[in-house]
Amino acid sequence: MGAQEITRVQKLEFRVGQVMTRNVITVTPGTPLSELQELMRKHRISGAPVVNDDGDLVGVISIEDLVRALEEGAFNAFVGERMSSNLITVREADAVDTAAQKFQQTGVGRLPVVNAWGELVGILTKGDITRGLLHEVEAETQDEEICRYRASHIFRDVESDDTSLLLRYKVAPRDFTHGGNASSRIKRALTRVGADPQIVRRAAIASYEAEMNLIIHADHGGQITAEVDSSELKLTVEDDGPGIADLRRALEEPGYTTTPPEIRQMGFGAGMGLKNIRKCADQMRLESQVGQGTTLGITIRLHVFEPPSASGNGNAQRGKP
Amino acid sequence: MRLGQVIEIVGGRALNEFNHARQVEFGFETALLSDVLAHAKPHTTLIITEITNPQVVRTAEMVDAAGVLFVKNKMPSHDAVRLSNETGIPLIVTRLGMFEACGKLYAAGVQPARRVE
Repeated sequence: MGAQEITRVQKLEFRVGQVMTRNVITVTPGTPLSELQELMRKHRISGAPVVNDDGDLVGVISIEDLVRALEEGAFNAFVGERMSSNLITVREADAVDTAAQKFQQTGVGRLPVVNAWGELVGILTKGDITRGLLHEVEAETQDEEICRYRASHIFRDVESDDTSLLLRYKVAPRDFTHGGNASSRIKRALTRVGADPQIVRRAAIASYEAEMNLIIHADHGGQITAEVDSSELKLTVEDDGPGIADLRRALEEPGYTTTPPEIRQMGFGAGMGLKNIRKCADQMRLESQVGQGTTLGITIRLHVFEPPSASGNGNAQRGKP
Repeated sequence: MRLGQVIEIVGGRALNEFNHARQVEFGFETALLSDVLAHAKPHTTLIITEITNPQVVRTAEMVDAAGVLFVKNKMPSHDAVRLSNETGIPLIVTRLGMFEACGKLYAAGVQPARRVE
């Protein structure tokens, strides 16, 4: 969650100045259209800001303006007569979002960029924004790769007789909106430490079913603890009530459920959860006492943390930065 | 087939940004999320459903589904869409009912994720 929030903030702080083109080719109101045409061809641009002799921005001229002028036979006109002087600009310090909205609202293809004093400092096209965002996404992907690389080396880099990672998550009762948050984070953690995707998937499904059970049934919600070491994942799911009255039926009887109908309408509580968990787990242990609570233990073997030197090991290649 | 083709076949529209080239091999129609958790095949399964709560997106995330197709113009809840953006699960909506949506996809080669022996 933390990482995602940081990412979001970075995106908000993504500024026009970071993505715009700085080397702007400008023309003046006195530039003949024939000269503009030549400039556009030479620099492969489709428009240019117009500045006066004092360097103030006075308009923008685009290839559409040029084509229209030529169609109308105005071969000898000057930029000043055909430019658009209804100036829509963005500021260097504006968020890229703001610029994107301006593109959408106005339908223009390029926006001159000015600094705090109104001086022209660059030009921005939609292409600049796309390129900038792509660059950002690439950087994010790389960050995730680095996270994975680091996490996958924990079990080799940290030396002890028995290293394990302990992750604890609280689950609130009846909180369907956030149901699955804990399992989602467990899934990401396992992926980062380099566990095999098939095993990660099994662990995620088991954990998610158990998490939904806490949300649906537990009086006060509960806690999920995930303990990961180099050979296995141990999930412990605990609550303090109400407890399961008929353990045998809950475990063995397909379709046996105590879930109220309004929750079943949401797609859960069909009497499959515990059976699903057992299918995903290598070992499962369920203890429950009515009025006391329930503890579910799930063990899933990981067998994935061999050192990269082991031949043909998929993790080794995944770990490379 | 690709998600982009799914959109064409069911006359649907994308509800978030995703890679339209992503592969779909299996379809899984459901009103029961545990059923998906028990039987979906990873990576190339498209979940087809009327369930619009965030849990359908969570379920898709857990089983590594290729995406979720909502039938009968059922629009996912605000929380579900927000979650799909966080988790990168593609969401598509179609006006078609369950029967017709599944029929068209099956005719176009999408296989059942749950095989009856």
